[in-house]
Formats: sequence, structure tokens, C-alpha cells
Amino acid sequence: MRNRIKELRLECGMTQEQLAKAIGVSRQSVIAIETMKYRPSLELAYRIAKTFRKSIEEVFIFEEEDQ
Amino acid sequence: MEFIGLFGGMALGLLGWYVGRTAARRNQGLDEMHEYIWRKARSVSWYVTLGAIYVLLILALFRIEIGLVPALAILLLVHLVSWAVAGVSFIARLTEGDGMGAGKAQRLLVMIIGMVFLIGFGIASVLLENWMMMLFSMIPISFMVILVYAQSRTRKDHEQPRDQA
Repeated sequence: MRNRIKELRLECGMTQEQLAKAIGVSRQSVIAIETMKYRPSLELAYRIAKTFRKSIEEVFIFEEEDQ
Repeated sequence: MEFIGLFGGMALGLLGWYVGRTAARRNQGLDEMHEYIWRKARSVSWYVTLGAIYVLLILALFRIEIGLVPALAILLLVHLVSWAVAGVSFIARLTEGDGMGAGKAQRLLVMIIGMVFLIGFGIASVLLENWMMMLFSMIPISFMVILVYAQSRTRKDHEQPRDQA
């Protein structure tokens, strides 16, 4: 599972701290999600996508390899 | 003295836990990743405790009697320290920068848990005046080293295709 969080965050001109505050998690969690070391729950993924006004599929890219 | 150690330790632990949670809540730190990390750390600490129980049972088989209180104290020490160390290690792994790779963090974890085993069984060997206790701590340490080696091999196999892409 890849994600475009860092790219979208930079496009919006947001810092990790601001994104963390917007989605209600710690900055450490944003770092872990951006670097794809932690896979967020569906609820958190939805909150992230909503922050960027995108759909979940536009933010998180499922790859066949993940299966 | 024992009362001070037992209840004082518990009071200090609870105070530390409360202060830590309050500080984490202020930084929105009590999120789902926090729950995930500490759930996983608890799982790891139970495996480590299981190893310690087996070592103590093997000692009993060899007629090395420790006594109920030292045995429980060793188990408590191993359980709590491995829980804390595993949690801190998972946090380091998930939030690490370029400076510390997952392998390094894992090796650090094994070193610290190994030290806990050595200290725990070292204290018991001094109390019982039996050096064999130290020797038995090698069993869980060897097991952990093999486990980490196997995991690092698996991780390398998984990472290779992504690096090539």
C-alpha cells in the first residue's frame, strides 16, 4: 500500500504538525504513515482523505503485490 | 523495606504512567498508532515472560531452587522491562529518521532484553550463590538472537523488490 500524503500535504502547504492536528493524531503518527511504516485504520484514512478533499483511493494506492 | 520497595515501586510506576499519558494526551499522542504500538509491545513482553518461565522451570528440573519471591520478582522485572523496551523500540522503528534502521532498532531491543535477563539471573545467582543461574540465561538470549537473525533475513527478502522498482 503506497500513499500520496506527503505530496498532497506539500501541495496544500501544510506542515506535518498541521496535518496531525487536522486529523487528530500525533506528529509521530503522520511521520509513520507518510513513510508507510504504519498503515492507518479505515477511519483515519477517511479523515486524511477528507482533509485533502480527495477520495481514499486518490490518497492510498493499493498495489497487487500487497496481496 | 520490602513494603517500601513493593508499594513505592507501584506508586512511582503509576505516577509515571499518569504523567506520561497526560503529556501524550496534550500532544494528541493517545491515537490509534499509540494503541497499536503498546498492544504489540504487550504481546512481545508475554513471549519474553514465557521464555523466563521456561528458564525458571528448567532450573527447578536441575534442582536449583530459587524460591517463590525471587522467582516472581524475576518474572515481574522481565515482564515490565521487556514491555517498556519493546514499546520504545516500536516507537523508534515507526518514527525513525535516516539515522536508525529497523535492523539497528531490533538489535538494540535484543541487547537490552538480553541485559535484563543477565541482570535478573545474575541477581538470582548471587542470592543463591550458584553461577549456573547465569548460564541458564543464555537459553532465552540465544533464542532471541536466532529470532532477530531470521526476521532480518525475511525483511531483506521483502525489501529487495521495492528497492529495484
